[in-house]
Amino acid sequence: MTRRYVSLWFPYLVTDWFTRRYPELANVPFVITAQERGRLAVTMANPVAEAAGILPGMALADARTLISDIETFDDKPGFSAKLLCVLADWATRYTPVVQIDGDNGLMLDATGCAHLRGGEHPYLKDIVVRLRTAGYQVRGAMADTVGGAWAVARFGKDQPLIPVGETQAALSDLPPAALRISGASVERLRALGIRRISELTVIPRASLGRRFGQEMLLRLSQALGEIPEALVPSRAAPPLEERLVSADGIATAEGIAKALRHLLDQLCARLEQEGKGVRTLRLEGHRLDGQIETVAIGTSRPNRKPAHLFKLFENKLDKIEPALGIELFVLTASQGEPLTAEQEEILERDAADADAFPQLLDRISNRMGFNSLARFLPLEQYWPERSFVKAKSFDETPSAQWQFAQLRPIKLISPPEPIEVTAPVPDYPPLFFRHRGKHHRVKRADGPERIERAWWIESGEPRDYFRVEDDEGVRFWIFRSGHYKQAVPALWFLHGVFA
Amino acid sequence: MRETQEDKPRRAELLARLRNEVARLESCHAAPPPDGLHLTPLLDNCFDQGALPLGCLHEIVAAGRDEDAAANGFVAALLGKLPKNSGLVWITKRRTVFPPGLAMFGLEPDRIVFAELPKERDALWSAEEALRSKAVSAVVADIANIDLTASRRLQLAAEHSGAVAFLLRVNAKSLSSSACVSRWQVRHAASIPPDGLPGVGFPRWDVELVKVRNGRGGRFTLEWRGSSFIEIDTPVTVTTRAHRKAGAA
Repeated sequence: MTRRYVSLWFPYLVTDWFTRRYPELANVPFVITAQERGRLAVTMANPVAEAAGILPGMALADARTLISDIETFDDKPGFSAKLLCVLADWATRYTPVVQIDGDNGLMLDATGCAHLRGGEHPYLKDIVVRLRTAGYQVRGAMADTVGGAWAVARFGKDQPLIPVGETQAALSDLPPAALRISGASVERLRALGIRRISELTVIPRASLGRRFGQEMLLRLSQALGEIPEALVPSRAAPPLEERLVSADGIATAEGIAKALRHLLDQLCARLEQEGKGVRTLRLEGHRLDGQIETVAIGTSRPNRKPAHLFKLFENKLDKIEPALGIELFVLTASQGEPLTAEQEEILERDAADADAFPQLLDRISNRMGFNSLARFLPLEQYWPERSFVKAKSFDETPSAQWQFAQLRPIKLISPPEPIEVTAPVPDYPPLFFRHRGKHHRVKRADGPERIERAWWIESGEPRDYFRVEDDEGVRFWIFRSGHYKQAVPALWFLHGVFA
Repeated sequence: MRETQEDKPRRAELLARLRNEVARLESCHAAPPPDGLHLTPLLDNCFDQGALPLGCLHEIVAAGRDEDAAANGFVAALLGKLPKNSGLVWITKRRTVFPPGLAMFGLEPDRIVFAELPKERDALWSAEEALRSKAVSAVVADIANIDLTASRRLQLAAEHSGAVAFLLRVNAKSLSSSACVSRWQVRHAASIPPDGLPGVGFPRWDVELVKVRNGRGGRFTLEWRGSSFIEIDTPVTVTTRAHRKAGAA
């Protein structure tokens, strides 16, 4: 298949943004300035200022001699890159592969995409007209090669749509600068009197390489399609993606739900064929006004049941603000996981049962946040704080045993709270203790149970735990930190309450 | 009309049918209600079906500031008595339950899914969602303050699925009327080790059944011994606050 590329060039990207933002600037000359070697230099001028002769690179002082009251704005580093990122995201509605091209252009891989908009001519026209309506001055061109599209977008004089196989002919009249070569090479070619690419192609390649270096050869071959050139998408295209285009824009809740159902059915049918399940899904709604609305869900185990996935989205659909309407829905699965035979069996069994436990957990965690639910597994550790661990998934099975015979409190106070005790006999539980101002008289006690720290994890004192019951019948878990020493008063803590 | 010998069995049959019909109309059970939970003979007698009914809402009230652990432990013991084949959900504001501490009540702590939800509204939503699921056998919801409407919703959800809901109420502002089937007040009771041994004995609670629908209340001292409840004494007092309904046994 012949590859087709669309190059978009925004000659006034940043100034256009300012005009869009502040419409009163439309007919006012203004420039973007930046500090450069101790002076303020113009980095970009809007068309009105350019018409007065102000060009990028000029010092602001020189520009002021041409237009004394010119408006200026500070150049924020990385601003044009940010703008291009937004535009690249916007352009994904035309093709999944969009590359940011330099600091004022985009390159779209339009191979096999144009027929979705009724042919190449309407496709290119749609892109350019929409960007112009949005306030960006843009030139677009379509050709067989990246270099060809780039050249025609920037230097083309008449037809922006170069038919299949005619790239070389279209390039022949353009200046050598259209080849994406360095300024020095352009200067040298001009000095040699070479004004058009056709004059360059008749020179034997070997001598061209000798005089102008490998870059020139590479760029020429790329533009002519002799060497393939791959695009680097601005956002890695996920392999699991479904799209739904709506010409008029969908603005109703029912419409959005219907679109989502349709996409889920398609995606799940595909997952079933590939024997995969997904754990996170993202629905993007590209709005008519260029904004993108996004909602995402996650599941506790790989899933591919449209009904369940729809249910998870259901609560979030009202967060999508359709405004004038949504013209394109994109459903992407960022993680496709192969399902084991066992998982498939569980999935098939649970599918009939919307009440199944994992489905319930998904519903709760999608609404309340993924950290709100937890399961705990035992660890082979005696230190109370380390005796259990939060499970990584809802399916994880314990690798250790719960200690059914150990007497442990139902409520753990963490961190342990200091208590004041009276313990007249060494290594015996206290007779009284005071916690948060309340006196407890110990009636019964058990212990001590010495628990040592895991020395390979941390160092510190061991603890001697006692179970004590006060005169009201409340049973506490208290400990003395460290061994009993005659001279030093021991530190006592309350660590839990028994049932 | 004079009753003949033949009419008698027919009449008994009719009565039984009508009773079933009334029971069916009184609740919205989609399926017949599951068997109750047998605790101790005296306690079981407090309920009209002869056991702690499942598929409904029970309130466990901590009767005081220090009784939080007693109420939590009592609920854990009740969970331990449930069949072991389905999911348990425990909803709290902030989890302070120590999972290894649940093991002594015959409960594998990893079976429980804990939900930490600081907002009462979220906790109620999740509790109801969990109760409606057929895969859940019990939901513990640590919600101190609940109004009649919210408790009615939980009760209906529990009736619908047959799961049991335990509402843990610690430091509740007011125990206003709620749709629960029973309300328990739990506090620690001094333990007495068996055979005069020294030390601390088995977990023991002073449990007061303040409200029972179609049943009567009572106050008991219960002990958890290994895998079941043991009654220590005969009921101390029979409360007058027990809710009785006309026609209840």
